[in-house]
Amino acid sequence: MKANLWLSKTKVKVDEVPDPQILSPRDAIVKVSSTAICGSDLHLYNGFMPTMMPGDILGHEFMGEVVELGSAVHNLRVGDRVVVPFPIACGACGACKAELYSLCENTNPNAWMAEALFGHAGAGLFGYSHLTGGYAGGQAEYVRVPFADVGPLKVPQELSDDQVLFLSDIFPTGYMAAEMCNIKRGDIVAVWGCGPVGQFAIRSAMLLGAERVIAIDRFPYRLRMAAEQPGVDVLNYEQVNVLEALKEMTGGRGPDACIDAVGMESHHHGPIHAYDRTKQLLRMEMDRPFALREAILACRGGGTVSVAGVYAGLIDKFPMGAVMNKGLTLRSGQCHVHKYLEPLLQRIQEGQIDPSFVVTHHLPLDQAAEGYRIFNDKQEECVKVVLQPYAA
Amino acid sequence: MSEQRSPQPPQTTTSAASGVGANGVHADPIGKRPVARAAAPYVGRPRQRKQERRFHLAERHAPTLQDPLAQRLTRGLGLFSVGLGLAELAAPQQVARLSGIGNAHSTTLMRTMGARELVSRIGLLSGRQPARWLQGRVAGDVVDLGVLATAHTPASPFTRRSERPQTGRMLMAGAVVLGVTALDVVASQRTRQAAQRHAEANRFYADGGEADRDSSGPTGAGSEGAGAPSGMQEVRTFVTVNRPIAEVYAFWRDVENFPRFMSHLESVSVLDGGDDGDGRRSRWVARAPLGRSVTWDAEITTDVPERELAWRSLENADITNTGSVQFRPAPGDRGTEVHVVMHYALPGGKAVATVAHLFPENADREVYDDLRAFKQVLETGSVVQSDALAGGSRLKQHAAQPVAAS
Repeated sequence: MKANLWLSKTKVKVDEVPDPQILSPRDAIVKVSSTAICGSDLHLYNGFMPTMMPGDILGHEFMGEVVELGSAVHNLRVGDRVVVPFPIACGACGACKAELYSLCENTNPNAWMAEALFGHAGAGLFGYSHLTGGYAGGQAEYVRVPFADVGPLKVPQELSDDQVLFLSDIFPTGYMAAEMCNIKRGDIVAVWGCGPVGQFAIRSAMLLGAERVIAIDRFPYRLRMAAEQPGVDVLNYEQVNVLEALKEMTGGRGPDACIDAVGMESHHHGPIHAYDRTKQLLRMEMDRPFALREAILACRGGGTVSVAGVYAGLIDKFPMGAVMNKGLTLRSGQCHVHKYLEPLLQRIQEGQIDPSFVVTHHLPLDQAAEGYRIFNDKQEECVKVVLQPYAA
Repeated sequence: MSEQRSPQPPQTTTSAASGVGANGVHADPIGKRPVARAAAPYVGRPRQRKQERRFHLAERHAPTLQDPLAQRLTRGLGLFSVGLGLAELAAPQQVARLSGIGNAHSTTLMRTMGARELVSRIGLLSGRQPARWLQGRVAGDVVDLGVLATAHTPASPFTRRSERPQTGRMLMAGAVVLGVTALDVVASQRTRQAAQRHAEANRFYADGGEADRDSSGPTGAGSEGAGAPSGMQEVRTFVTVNRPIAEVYAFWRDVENFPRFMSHLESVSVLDGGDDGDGRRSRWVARAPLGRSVTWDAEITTDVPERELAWRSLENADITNTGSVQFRPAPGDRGTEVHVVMHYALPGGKAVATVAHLFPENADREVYDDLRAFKQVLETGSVVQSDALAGGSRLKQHAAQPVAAS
């Protein structure tokens, strides 16, 4: 089969690899109809995620048709159309029982690697380095889905791929980021980053009852997309001082909750960006946390900072004094996608949200390298690239 | 071979001394409490664990860490050696004149002494076997005093064709050397004592007992148990399995299950099963490098249902090993805590053990990975396989893509 392989920093290539096989009775093989490039794939693409091996199949946002089933999977049939959550969860361990699916204790066979870095390991993830298990990803014609009796969600035929594909990651991720803000009546939520996760965080915050959302980015086309949602104001951090603007827009209080939908490759202008960039290049800090620092400084006393952006290691100049003295609540986590599948599918079916709004590019799988390049370089007003292995 | 059932790590004995079959009076190898108590508080030893690590990796480096004075003295004397040695090498005549020897022909002698000082410095500051280096220093001090004394004699070869030795300066130099000698002696003694204390405290883990072979450590006379014999690796690891304690215990007790979660095992078969046997003896076959396999027989020495199991290998073992596992109910319906302690000696004797000492994490990781696999089998039905590991061993990952059908 064809699959998109990571070769080295900023180098990916679609190449021929062996077809996946059932390895466990709880596996399924899914024939991929649509698979997206995630913003977090860019961290791999840019070489910021450790433990990648040349030849790793990328991709953790995918959906398709079940073509083969292990003997122990009874909830699916061959031919079912399914969306697959990006974390792999066993459904039986302590974490899964507590609905903390992205912290599944059993699905990362390389737990020792993650424990060396984090103290404890999270769940195995599709196509996301050996640190998260070394699972082949979904940017391929076929993919093996472990614990197919736990993860995949059957989706109705009347919804298009673009409408349900993002249940695999970015919609639940953005939704969880907003949910972690514990939004109450009158709350103003600021969102750093108007990439795909940011877009879903913005709309989810409105769905969850925010008074207003203030979206922060530097690309006008992304801010325009955010502003299409009623109730959303936008800030271009290249044009305004974000901290001052947020104070003004909130009567001096500061946002009640702040969402970091940027993560470890945060961009900024000026000396602090040069400082972070240099330290990151020297491998003295793994992640550039500018957006996170600003979110902490902006947040009102007693507010919540919700981190949806991916961080992999260590950050520098973390304003812990602000966190402590302002009594902030810091929440984060890889999304527990399984928990959100059904309720969010229901919101889609009820017409509360149509996730296809983020899609700007459809490409055949063969052009994955091109997709990564334009997404990474923010060319052609790119927000979301969907790859189709079997595009006509 | 020996049994490991001591509540006191420093106590060591071999099976010859302790005898076999003290099964009934098993004490908790993790802590100091008797096994009879269930659901006891956590009694792990994180701090001590750190120390064992250091001991594994730097067995001969650590002794002075136990005596701050010896440590400071050792470091101070090392730095003093640097200064004196460099001075003697770079400016032998000036040093000779300062110390009152004052002889042009003493240049070579001074440089030799300088070189010796530097070597002793490197030795001391490197932290390896400080006691021996300090003893060497004391010997060197005696030589220095001898040189000073000889220089004072008019017939000395060092005073030929030179101005008369200056008695005042030589007395000063002599006093300095005597002072340094005294410090060397103190540091040497304290370091040796610290090394002995350290060795005793770590007898349990010592590699061949080199440091304490001649010391008569407590050998379990009157005590019920013994630590692991010297030369054995220790691994401690823990996991919580979200299954009832009866099920977790039963799965472990059926030793024929082990190949399902221990990656290196080929097979385990019960030797004395059936109606009349108690199923305590079993034969273990494990894969070894180069397509070979190793075999050993083992016997369960302690079996407290739903609480504890202990085992040891029998005489024919290629891999001498002992171990115990405790099952404890995790609070709030979180399942069962599994606490494993294992000791093993690798085939190949001391050389292999020495190399293995350099990589204690590897052994820890192997056992820990096996324990995680145990949890996976109980909670999910089988060992979880990722694509990067499929078709290979856990130590050899390939790219995360499917492997071709064979």
